[in-house]
Amino acid sequence: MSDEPGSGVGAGQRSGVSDEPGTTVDASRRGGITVPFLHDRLHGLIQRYKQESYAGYLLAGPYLFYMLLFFFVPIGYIFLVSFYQNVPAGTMEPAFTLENYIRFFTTPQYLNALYVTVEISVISTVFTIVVSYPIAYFIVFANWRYSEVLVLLVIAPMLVGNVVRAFGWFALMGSSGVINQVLGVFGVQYTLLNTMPGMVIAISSVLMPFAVLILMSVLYTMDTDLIDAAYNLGGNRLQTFLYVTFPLSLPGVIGATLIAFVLTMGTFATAVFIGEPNIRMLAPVIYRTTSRDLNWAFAAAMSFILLAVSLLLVYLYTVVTSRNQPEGSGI
Amino acid sequence: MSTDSGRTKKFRLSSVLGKIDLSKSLGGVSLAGVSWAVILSVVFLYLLLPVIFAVVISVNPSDLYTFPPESITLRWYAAVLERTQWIDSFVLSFQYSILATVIAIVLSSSAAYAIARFEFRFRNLLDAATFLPLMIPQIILGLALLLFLQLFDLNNTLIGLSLALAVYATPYATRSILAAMQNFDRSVEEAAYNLGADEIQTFLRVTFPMLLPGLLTAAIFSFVVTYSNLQIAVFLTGAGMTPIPVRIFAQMQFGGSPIIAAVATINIVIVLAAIVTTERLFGAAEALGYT
Repeated sequence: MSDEPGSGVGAGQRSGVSDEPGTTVDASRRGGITVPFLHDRLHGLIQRYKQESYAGYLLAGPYLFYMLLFFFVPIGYIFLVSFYQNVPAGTMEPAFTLENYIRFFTTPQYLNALYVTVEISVISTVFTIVVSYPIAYFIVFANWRYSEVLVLLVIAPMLVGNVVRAFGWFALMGSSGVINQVLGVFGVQYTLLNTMPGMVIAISSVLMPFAVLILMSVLYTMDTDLIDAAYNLGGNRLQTFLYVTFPLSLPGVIGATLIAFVLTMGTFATAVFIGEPNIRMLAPVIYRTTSRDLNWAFAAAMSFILLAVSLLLVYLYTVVTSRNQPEGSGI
Repeated sequence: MSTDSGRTKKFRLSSVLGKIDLSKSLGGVSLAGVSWAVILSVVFLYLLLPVIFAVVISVNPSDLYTFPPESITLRWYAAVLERTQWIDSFVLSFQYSILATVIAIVLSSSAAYAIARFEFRFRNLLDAATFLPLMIPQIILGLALLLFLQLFDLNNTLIGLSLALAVYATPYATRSILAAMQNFDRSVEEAAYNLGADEIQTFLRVTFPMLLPGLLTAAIFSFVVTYSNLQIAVFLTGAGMTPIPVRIFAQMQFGGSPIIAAVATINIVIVLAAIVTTERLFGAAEALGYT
């Protein structure tokens, strides 16, 4: 905590004249506080800083510092490293070369991985929103006795982690897995493992909890009077949903889409277990370049391209959606 | 952009929808109820199937993932417990998850307090920015932290792993603490002030105890997401340090095995125990604001 004498004196005077009931406690009533010295010091500090305009920054300071150090600086650092020169022994040399970027954009294998990553992300995101919306809608509006249990059932898979679920899908989709057995009953021979539909199915189930939670938070804050008004004006359930509820929930749909899309762009466990070796997404390529080839500069360049493409698509999406938003719908 | 033709088109669809009456019932069963039951069971089956199936494989004596299992066995669990490398991984995962949780909670709770209680410039920006670690592809965060931490020789150490995963845990921690703070009834604090308590007393005796469920929920969430994280952990670990998700990942490179299913089930049990505890003690869904 910075101890600037000038502002400290000013603040002290201000709290001196303020007429807060809390400032006039005598020592005998301070039950439970066993260190009066510390208490007074702390109390003085609170009095001095709580009216300051930067009080919020003081409290959020450690968090901001931590995020700066372990989030923004590392992300900036990979941008820097992406221009470095790779040295075969597993290290790199500071330089300014576009070699890494040129290598990426001239190798069909990498461009293809990027293309596949974007393609899978778009399809999975759409699929995720479609399957998540009914759940969020039901939990918020159905007033069912066990809705809270449903919330926990949505959160639980998210907490179990990608690896476990990717493994589960791997086992389900294998040639002797349950899905093949079920399809076999209908005379269909189709293995989902290493296919595009298999990827979309596995990835979307990973994304669903995020989408449901975001959609729910928007549906909860929705002005239900408007929905009641639609019913009163004679709309049936489907009409009300299509013309009132759904348009009002669009901010949630947009938010859920963004999170789902960005998370899929970095899909790792599922990409390795379900997609490889037939379908190559960018994240496993980045990982192998880092840990097996030890080419950190190139991995950094690929990461930065992945980040830039994600942010660019997110930006385009927000531009398009905000243009098509009717006025006053909250975005 | 509501042109006239667009409007008629809208109402043509509306008149079709108007004819579909979901409140009808067939033999006492409402149409809407049945459609909801079907939709919900299909979607929840889809969501939970991989998790349930991992549990099923772990007690299945066959290692070909056949279904239904012919009998039930615990030998895959025995195989896990016999190998010290799995035990070491469990211990390591618990160590860094606890450390990362402590870091994340300390940082996030003060940030959340500032966001919820103070007016300052960029407050809304800070509020939105707490999502940031979730808003970039996770693999990039993993690589970025590896490159950054190896500058200080912190990669492949417990400290480095904890510092890195705390970043990943902060969005979950901040959001659940913020949810708790937004549900907070501030008139109780007012009452404490009116009864003569000062800020410290009010905080220690009123505010903190009332926020405690939210803080514990946040802690358990942070712990669990850190514990099950692969994308960041896989970059920051190496020889001699293999957390559970990374070891599962490494094993999968040699093909799946029911042993992985057994480990996955142990993870599921740990996570479920954490969730049920929070729910029993404080109502996790409520603490998160979803009620």
